[in-house]
Amino acid sequence: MIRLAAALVLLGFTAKAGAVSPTEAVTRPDLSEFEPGVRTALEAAISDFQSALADAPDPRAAGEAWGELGMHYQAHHLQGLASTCYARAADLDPADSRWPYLAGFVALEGGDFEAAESRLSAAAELSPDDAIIRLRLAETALAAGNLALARERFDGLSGGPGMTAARHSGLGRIAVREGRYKEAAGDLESALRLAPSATRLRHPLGMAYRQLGDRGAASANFAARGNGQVPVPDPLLISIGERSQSAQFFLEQGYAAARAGQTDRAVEAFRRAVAASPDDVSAMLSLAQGLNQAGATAEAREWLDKAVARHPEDPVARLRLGMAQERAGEEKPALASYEAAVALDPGLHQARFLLGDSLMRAGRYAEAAEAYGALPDEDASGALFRYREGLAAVASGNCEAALQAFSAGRRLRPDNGELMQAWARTASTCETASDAERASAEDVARQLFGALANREHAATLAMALAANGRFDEAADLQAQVAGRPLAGVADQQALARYRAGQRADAPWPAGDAVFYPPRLNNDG
Amino acid sequence: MKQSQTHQDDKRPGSLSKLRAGSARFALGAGLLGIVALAPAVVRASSGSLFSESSGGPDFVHFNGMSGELYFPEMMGSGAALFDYDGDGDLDAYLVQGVMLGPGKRLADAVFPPADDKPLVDRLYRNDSVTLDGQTQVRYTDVTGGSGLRSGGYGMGVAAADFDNDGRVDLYVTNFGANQLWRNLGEGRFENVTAAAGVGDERWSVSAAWIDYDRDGDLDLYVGNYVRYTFDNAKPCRSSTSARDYCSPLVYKPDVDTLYRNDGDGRFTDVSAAAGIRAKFGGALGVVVADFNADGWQDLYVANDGVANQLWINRRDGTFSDEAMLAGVGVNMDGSPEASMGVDAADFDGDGDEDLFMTHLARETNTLYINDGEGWFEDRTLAMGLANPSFQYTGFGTAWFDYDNDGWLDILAVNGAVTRIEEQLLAGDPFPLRQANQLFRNEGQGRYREVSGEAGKAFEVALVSRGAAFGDVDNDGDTDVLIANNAGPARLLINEVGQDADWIGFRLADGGGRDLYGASLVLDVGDRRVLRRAGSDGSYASSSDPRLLVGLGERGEAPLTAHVVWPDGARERFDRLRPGAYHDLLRGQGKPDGD
Repeated sequence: MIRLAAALVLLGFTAKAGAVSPTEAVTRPDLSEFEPGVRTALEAAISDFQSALADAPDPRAAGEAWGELGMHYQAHHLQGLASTCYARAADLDPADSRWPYLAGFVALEGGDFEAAESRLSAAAELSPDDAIIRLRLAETALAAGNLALARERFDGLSGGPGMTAARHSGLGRIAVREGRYKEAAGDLESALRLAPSATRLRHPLGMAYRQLGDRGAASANFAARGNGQVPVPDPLLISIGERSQSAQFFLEQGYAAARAGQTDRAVEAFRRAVAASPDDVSAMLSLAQGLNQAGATAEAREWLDKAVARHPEDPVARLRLGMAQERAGEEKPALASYEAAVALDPGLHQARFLLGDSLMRAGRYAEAAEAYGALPDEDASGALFRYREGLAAVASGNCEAALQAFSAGRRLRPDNGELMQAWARTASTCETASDAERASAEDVARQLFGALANREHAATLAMALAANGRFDEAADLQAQVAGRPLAGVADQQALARYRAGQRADAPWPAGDAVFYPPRLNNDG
Repeated sequence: MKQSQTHQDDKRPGSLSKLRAGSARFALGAGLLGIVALAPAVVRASSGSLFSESSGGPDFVHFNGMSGELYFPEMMGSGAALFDYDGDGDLDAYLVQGVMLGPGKRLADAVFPPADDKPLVDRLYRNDSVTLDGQTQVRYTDVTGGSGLRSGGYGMGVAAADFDNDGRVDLYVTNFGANQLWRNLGEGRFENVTAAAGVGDERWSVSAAWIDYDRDGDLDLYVGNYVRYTFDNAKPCRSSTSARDYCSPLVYKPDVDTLYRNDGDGRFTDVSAAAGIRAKFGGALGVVVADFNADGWQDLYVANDGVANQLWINRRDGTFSDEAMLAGVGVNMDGSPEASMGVDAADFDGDGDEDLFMTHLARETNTLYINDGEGWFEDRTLAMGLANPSFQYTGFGTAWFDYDNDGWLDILAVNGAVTRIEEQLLAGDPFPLRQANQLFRNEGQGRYREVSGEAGKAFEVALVSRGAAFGDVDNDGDTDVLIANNAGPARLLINEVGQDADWIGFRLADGGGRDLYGASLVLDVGDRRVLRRAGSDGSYASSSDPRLLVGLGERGEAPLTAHVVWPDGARERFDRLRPGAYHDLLRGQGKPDGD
């Protein structure tokens, strides 16, 4: 447990500071359980503050000291302390718009819209041309539900493309709230043209289209909804971010950048996270992932090796290293990494799945079936797990288990063509399949062939026809398959079997590509 | 079995001593939503409190089993139920308990030791309230000992219903660990039938809801599951300050929910995959049942923590499809998924369809979605005046209920943070998640106003509230609230004002005494039609009184007509229903109703 005692640091304030109390107090949190980098940064900030205050020649300099301390607190998300510091800074230097602006921003973030309005208005009076302050005022009015004022303020915004996008974004969101859907769609489309990464706007835009009766456009926008927002650089907030020494902060910054598709910024943030907390495995893994996305695979690999070396007990580090090894074509080391990850965390499904794939590629089918088999139906990829489990079982010669796996997969995804085909082929060829299953296999195969009469589906239907003793029909259909381009020896062999009144003996020939799951590539 | 007329013939004489303020009412014409609005008239008890805390409520203190490791489940529980287990016409209570958490942890490691020497199990309380000279003294007696109830695991929530159609209310208890189904045997005894019923979902479940989704006359069960958290995969998390803190749910994989079909023979079948509800999921915390698209079939809304919510529309063939996004209830109006906790559905605006309200994390807002009647919604939180007051609070248990019986549904949100609050942390609080609860009054003109400041001392207390169960515990015609607090005492808030207005109450049941969840009632009140739905679902991890209370303002004693739509779509009408009493509307005893 963090020790929560707060210490009061009494600070002497010299007469040089002018019309202020000679003694001022700042509440300092107990930092004992903060990250080491944060502790050091805040201790240093407080020490600098004390010195600056002691040496301050005038209230303005004292205000600067308070504001600077506030920025350090804000950089580490100690908003209450930051707010106190900004208020004091504003008292001491009422001409500096930074302090009421930052106090207003903290209030806005904290939901104290009245305080935000008052402080941001004060900042705007001091810096009437500052577009960022005016944007925050508009956001405050919108958050507080004062739509008329928000509309007026957003409408008055001007500046570069970012600010124009913010203007359209605000006006569009207000229009949705006011039921002016046509205008909303216009403004939101404009915002998205200027800031395509602002994918969060897709939702209000979808709502506008829905209300306008354009269900297609609504659905398309809902499907494209993301978390990206209109990027409007705020120099003061950027400056505050630079004061942070929190790996956590940088990680969050990196994740946000990655979500917005800004890979370079994400990598930079992850680098700072590692610098702030060199032993943090999450920071190292995030950096490696960012580097990989940026194409710097060699450096990514270095960080993964470091992460595993420092944290051999971390299953995610093992998994990520395995993925990097797989991408590099190092199949055996990758397999070993996945095995280690699964041993460390049996619930790490991704590792178990990739282990199954590695085992398949290594021809260790029974072990692969076991690996896939341990993955639950309930996962979002449950149907895929069952599909791979079934293939592994087929490859290992256990068609009964394969049928069960494919059946389970079909229960999860009844309309999935690959599962339908795998099930139909296996039911058509497995000795233990029942007559009912064979009859059903023909139905399923007909469904597939009816939906798409390609070579694969024709072969599947021929297989099912033969399984039900209709060898002539099977042979006729298979002859078409065998006569098509890309037909192989196996197709000819199947044709010969049907003509000889025999069923196919396997759903796929041994060594078929279906038993060789694709390796991860650098996009995967 | 109660007859079709009344537990209580008259309003409490005691209520005459209370002030009736603002008696003049004016029809203002069509309001924002096309509703005929009534002028606000706050009816206030002479003490000035809207609610008072009962000293006779359950003497339950929640034990959260925290030891300083910041295990995720320790701050998520727990819930409460108000239900009539002994069939005596008053609401008994069930409160869900925690146990010591973590491998190798002992009670001596607990930050907050147990409040008493009682075993750390869920507790059943019998309502032994007495009415003397028109004054009801609320009193709850712990009867766990003789009940056969013995909860297992770390408790989260509870859902009450008569699953076996024997006229006795049973309990489904959700846990961090395997859930339990307790069959009510009568005579105050319960039997654990989990294994036989096949409903012992072992995932981390929080809220569950009973729903007859296939209209076969028995109640099926939807279990909302949270995330895949184990002590083995517990992650060390930090807040943005970098101090240790509870993790976001997004750190863990969300778990799938489960739909159990009641086979009618005491057993249930897991139909989750076949019904399609495994197609989408996201860390469920709240579940509510209603017919959102007005097609006569019960749908489900699932409130997820931090990811898009699901609106499962019943396709009438045993399957559901998630239509949350197009319906406009997957994410808020700005496109952000929110950390949804508690949820309720009701026709708050009196336009004849089911709207949605849900509580959220601080720095989000609670959200109110208005139904357009066809199952499409709009986020109207801001316009309703509900956004700003909720911004700084993390809400959990909630419901729409008419505390002042003026005919408009008000809202209670019980609050408690999930990440440590800076000020409390600096002040040395070992569990710095405390927040006050909030009461919002429906002003009847498309606006809500927070009235927590006028609600009395009960609303000045800041605790870590989670569950909230709603019901009329003193049968005086207004809704009281049982609040379950994490690492704190359960609090029973007695409504001090509702009984001063006119009201009418209903129980929608079959001839066997079973509440018919999913039945809806439409009541003609002047030029308004009031819609209410029977059920115990909604809120957070809690189970509420399935009876229906309709506030009538100052309508007087003139009899009313109720139109009931039973869960299978059959309709009946009940005439000459006198206000000021509860009426048992029994299926088959009304008149056929084409309306």
